[in-house]
Amino acid sequence: MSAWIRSIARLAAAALLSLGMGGCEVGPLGGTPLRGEPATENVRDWSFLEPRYAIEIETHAGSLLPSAQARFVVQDGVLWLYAMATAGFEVPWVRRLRDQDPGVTIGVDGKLHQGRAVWVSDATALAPLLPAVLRKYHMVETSRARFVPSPERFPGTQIRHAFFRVDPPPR
Amino acid sequence: MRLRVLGMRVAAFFAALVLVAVVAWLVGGVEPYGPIAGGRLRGEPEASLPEDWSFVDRVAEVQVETHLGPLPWSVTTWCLSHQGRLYLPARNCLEKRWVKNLLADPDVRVRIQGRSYELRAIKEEDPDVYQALIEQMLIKYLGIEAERPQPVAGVTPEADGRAYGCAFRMEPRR
Repeated sequence: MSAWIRSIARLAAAALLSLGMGGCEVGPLGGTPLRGEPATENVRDWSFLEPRYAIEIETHAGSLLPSAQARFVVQDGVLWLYAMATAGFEVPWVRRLRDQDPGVTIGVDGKLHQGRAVWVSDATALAPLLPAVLRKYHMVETSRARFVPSPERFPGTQIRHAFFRVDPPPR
Repeated sequence: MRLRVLGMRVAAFFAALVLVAVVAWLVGGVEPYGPIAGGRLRGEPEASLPEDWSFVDRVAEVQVETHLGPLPWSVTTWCLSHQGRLYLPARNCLEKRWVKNLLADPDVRVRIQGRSYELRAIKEEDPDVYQALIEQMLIKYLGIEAERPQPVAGVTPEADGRAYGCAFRMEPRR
């Protein structure tokens, strides 16, 4: 019995260690800082990322778990970070980028690209992104889409969307 | 040596927490919380079922209890109604444990606004109904109105199980 408890304890210890040292991500809470080499040039066209489902990002605002797997779309070569939030939970990286520091690092194949995440909430400006978002993350094909206010039939059931345009870092 | 003993104690503490969680889950004391699955849903099931489920249009989330072998497995998920019937949609459905459970054993318990209902889940195969559910889901949950939304062509469970959507119609148990 004691051997069994000891092996469970070892497993728990290993899990704790990997949490602290392994560069892992703890689900929506985030992960440890990204590792890689600083990129020497700014990316002008992010289209090469399009086939990927998510990318690694790290926010510059102070946090124990500054990195995250972020959803994204690329429109005309511009990288847009995307997240959804329910009434009760907003992913921490969204809050940090929007409210604390727009500085962000994008990790791609071992290279770390610096950027500035600009929060965009204007529904008209975001409408052109929606077909790509729906296709990629909701498996819905459409040629045109727009945000609509909560209709009377569905009061208070709508989640919130967060979009950040990733600009080159300020010089 | 002292550090090692301390490390063992800390690890044993967390192991004990895990054990307590598992035991609590087994006896039905842990319900789903946000994205975290739970065990048995508390409360007695209602004696009769609503004839019209459209009241769920005003409900954002429901809990559904499925079975993972002999164990109860419950999650919080979305709900839709169509022509008075209740539907539970699932995105990335082939990856979701509760969907796999439900395909293996369709008898579920669904709790809506504190009331539990014993139901049987039937996978919806009618393309017209599925189309209507997509349109409704986009507006109800995403706040997006799309022009003639269609499931992405060519996406099959085999090609991209990760993002394969599905919906289950809730029927009375026979």
